[in-house]
Amino acid sequence: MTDPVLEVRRIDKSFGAVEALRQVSLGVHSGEVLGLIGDNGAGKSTLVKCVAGIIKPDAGEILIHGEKVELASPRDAHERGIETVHQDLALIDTLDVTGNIFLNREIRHRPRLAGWMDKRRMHREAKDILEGLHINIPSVRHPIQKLSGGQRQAVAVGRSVAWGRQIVLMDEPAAALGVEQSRLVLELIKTLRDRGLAVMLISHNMQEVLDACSRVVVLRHGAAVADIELADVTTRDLVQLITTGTAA
Amino acid sequence: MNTPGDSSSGSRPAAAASTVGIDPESQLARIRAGFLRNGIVIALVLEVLFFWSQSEKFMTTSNIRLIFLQVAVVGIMAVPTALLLMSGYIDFAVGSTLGLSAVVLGKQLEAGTHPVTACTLTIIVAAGVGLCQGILATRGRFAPIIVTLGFYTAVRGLTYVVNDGDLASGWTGRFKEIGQGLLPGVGIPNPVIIAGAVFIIGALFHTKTVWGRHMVALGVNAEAARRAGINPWRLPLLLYVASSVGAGIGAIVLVSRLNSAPPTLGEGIEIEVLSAILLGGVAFGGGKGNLLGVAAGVLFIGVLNDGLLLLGAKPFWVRVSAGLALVAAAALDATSRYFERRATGGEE
Ligand SMILES: Nc1ncnc2c1ncn2[C@@H]1O[C@H](COP(=O)(O)OP(=O)(O)OP(=O)(O)O)[C@@H](O)[C@H]1O
Ligand SMILES: [Mg+2]
Repeated sequence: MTDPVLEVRRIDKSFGAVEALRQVSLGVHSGEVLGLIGDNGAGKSTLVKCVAGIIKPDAGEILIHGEKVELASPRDAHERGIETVHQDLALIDTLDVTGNIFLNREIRHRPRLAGWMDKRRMHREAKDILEGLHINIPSVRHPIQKLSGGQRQAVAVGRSVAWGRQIVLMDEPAAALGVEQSRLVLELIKTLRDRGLAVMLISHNMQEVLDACSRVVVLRHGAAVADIELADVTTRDLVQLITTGTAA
Repeated sequence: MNTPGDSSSGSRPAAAASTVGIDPESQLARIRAGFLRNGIVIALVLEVLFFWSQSEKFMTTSNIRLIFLQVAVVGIMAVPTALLLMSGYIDFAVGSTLGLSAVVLGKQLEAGTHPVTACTLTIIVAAGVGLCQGILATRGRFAPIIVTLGFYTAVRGLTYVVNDGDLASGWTGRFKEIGQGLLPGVGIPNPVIIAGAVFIIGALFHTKTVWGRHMVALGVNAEAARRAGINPWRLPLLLYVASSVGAGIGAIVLVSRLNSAPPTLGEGIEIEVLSAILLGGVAFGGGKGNLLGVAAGVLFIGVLNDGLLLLGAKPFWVRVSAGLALVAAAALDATSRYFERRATGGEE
């Protein structure tokens, strides 16, 4: 098999006395959706933040296409085509939908150094992006704070799908979503997969995991206790892995 | 094909039926909402009507010109300081920075330095104060309010040290034009023109440029902005410098107007600047507000001072009213939040 798009090797991360990640290793290949599951506090979000350049691991390495990389800031991660849907969404409440989708990627008039935004074009493109993804938002001019929880989540997912080039990390992207919207998010994940991206999906919904992922890594108390193909695995097996760390 | 930026993602699903609107018809609604949110505009109108009805000297060309002239310096300083507040930081030392800049300027002028050189030096000194404060509050991650209270005292002390007990004054030449001259042809005092220009530049920066947007994003949710890759300290640091430079410009205007540079210059002006900003709807902690509101806040305070004196109030009462205006800002903020809650039906 070729090199994984994303590989993490023996990552450690502690917060004071809490060992959030212990020697975690995993890899995600092109065109693959890897499920990352585990109980609350298992360390899933911490791992995502390491790969997104938000926090620095204490030890271990991160490789992209087999090349060791230093992700010192979210900017580094963006430049390598890594996009993230954060568990807390990380949207700016008072900015409108367009402003959030284009945050730090604003389209500028020429000369670019003047920093003058082309708001009209951003609104148009944001509208196109969301429509292209079949995401239904009343208006791209709505400030985020006037949207429902599910709509906000849709904006965050849309943003990551629109900009993701190599790797998309989704930390519970469907947590607050209804049936129809959850299905949409799964569709988007599959679109990314078919485009050849490497996707990491965190979810507490085992049905969702079985549906979207071909492989899962199970985290327990900060350690990766299982890395299994999902060929003939049931929801019950997954729950067993999460709670006891061993397969039935 | 429409892709964001320079990327190639040919496999994006084709656009579906139009489900996401841009609704252009809401332009009017947005203007109206903006007006309502700026409760200060309404307060200003009521205030003007009140003093107009109480004193016939109020609505005269000379008095109006006086009001604008009196608030020009507060206005010049309020713009960059308001932007700094929007980014989530605070500068309480602007009055002290003004004092230090003024004394430095006065000494230079007295020594016969060319005004252009003297003004440049003044701005550099002011910018230096902002840079020091900004580095501590942003990169150093010291609590901004503590840093700025420290600078408030230290810089004023430094002003007296530099002044060394000798009041700088008695220069001649065209320097006084800056504060005392009128724009040829229009008859508007230069300080008012400068303040107007600063407001326009500030408003364009805030609403039209990527930096204005990033600044607001940092003020609303610094962590989310950081996760979007926005540098969390560079813009606030720049705004600290801008805030101090605003005080430096204020010093140039005041020294030019007064023909002297006492070390007490600018004492208490930070209260007026912050009152104007808060009255204008900018919140401590960042994010909210716009410069139109701040302009109204500046005028509100100017009209209040002027109107009370016209009505024969003792100068002490003007100080009382300045303090009360600050409290009024809090009341206004609470009211607008109440109406916002009612409008959106949201809880808090
Ligand atoms: N910034 C932080 N400071 C201190 N401790 C932290 C911090 N972030 C995470 N932790 C701790 O690290 C552990 C792992 O947290 P993490 O958020 O990664 O869990 P998670 O698997 O994402 O859980 P959940 O399913 O609830 O989202 C927890 O014990 C948490 O308390
Ligand atoms: Mg989590």
